[in-house]
Amino acid sequence: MAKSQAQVIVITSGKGGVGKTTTTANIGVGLALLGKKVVLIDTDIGLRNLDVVLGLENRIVYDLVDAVTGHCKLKQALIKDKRYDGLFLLPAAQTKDKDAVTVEQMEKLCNDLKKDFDFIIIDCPAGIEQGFKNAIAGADKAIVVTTPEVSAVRDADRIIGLLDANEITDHFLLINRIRTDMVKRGEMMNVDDVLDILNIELIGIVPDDENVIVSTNKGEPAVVNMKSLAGQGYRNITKRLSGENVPLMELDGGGFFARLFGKFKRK
Amino acid sequence: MAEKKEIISLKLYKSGMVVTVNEKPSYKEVKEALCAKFKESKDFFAGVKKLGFKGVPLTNKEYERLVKKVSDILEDSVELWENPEDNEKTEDKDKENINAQQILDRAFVEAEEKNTKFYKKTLRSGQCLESDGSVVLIGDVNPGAEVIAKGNIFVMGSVRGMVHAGKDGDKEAFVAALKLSPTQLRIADLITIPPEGDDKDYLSPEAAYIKEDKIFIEEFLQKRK
Repeated sequence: MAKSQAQVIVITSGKGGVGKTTTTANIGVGLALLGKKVVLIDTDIGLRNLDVVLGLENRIVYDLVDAVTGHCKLKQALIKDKRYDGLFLLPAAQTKDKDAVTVEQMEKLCNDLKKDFDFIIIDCPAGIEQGFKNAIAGADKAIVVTTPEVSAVRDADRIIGLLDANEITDHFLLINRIRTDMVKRGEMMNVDDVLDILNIELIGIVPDDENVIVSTNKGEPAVVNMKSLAGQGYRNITKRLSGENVPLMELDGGGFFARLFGKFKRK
Repeated sequence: MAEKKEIISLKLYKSGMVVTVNEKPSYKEVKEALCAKFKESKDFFAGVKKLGFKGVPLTNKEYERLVKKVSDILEDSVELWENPEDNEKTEDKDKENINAQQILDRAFVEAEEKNTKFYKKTLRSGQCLESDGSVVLIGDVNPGAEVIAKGNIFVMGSVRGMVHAGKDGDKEAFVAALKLSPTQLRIADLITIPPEGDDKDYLSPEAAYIKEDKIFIEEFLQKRK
């Protein structure tokens, strides 16, 4: 497999709790299911979560800080997910803080990983401080995650500005946790309202779905759950990332489940 | 800013142009200053039909010679405007009835004087555009972003953030945008916020300006009937 077009994508949002880590896990697993070689890097040093969401917590020996400071070889720090072929995790250190890694070290790390992987997905911490700067250092694309709330959209806007300033102009928007019932009642911003303000390319939408919480707790991302609507949203996104043209999930008209079952029948 | 007081100052009114002679100069100096001004902005002054004088008086003969000079420069007939003060008063009153159209007209007159600069970008949350002149921004001003200018602000896009025109106290400054729904709008030392429930989801070009010491917001495109 040609590895020349390795993509380094940072998943960021500014605001906390909008689903960066869940998105990273789902996109990572989704891409692995499509046969890609993927490494997920958790840069949220001191508040690591990605390993938990992936159910790999008990397998951590070395972490990101060990790998970039030379305490171990990069290969030793990579955890292979046995359930999904081609999926690796580089976990964050829990006992250090964001300053334990520098921008230069992150750039080098991403370049080293590019040789062996198709996708390098970086889970960015909330905020715009050192952790954010580290996370975007080696990235050449960004997925900005937001929810249809003014505060999340505001922070996403700030993040897009900072990405532009750092010359990451290849950025996409992911709108997470859309609640169709609320949008219909006019109580929640719809996709167009969000796009109107942020004005960047949309990579996908993910409806609000209880399955996500269940799967997060189980350490098994929703993307593998064929019954999950959020999983469907994430599957569409991973297909788009790997170059397929998938229409946007339709959220209005007919019940969710009616359409979902309709899809299954066709398959 | 200590600006040298010029010999003459010009003021344009609907019915004509009034020249104020500021100092007691020689006729020659007034003539040279006036010719220089008219030659410099010939196109702008084209259409002036009446020329009035006030301030330090000159003789009637001198007035007539000046008017003749100006008509030569403009290549158009210009006549002497007697007692321009009377008209000035009524037109100054008109100022109270000023509307967005006239405000925008002013932008053209002031474009150079106010050092107008063009920008093409969308200002996102946390970004700030500061200018010591007027600003024409092609793009949006998102919530959390700020545009602060000494002069006027014209946004070819939606204003959702904070805009401040005439930051040093210029009450003649204005803000115009294709969609004006700012979090806060300031002109000189006045601050206003748009009324609640005024959130339009379509473009409606509006201008904000100061009239009677209040900020007025008004659509500036004339409606066709």
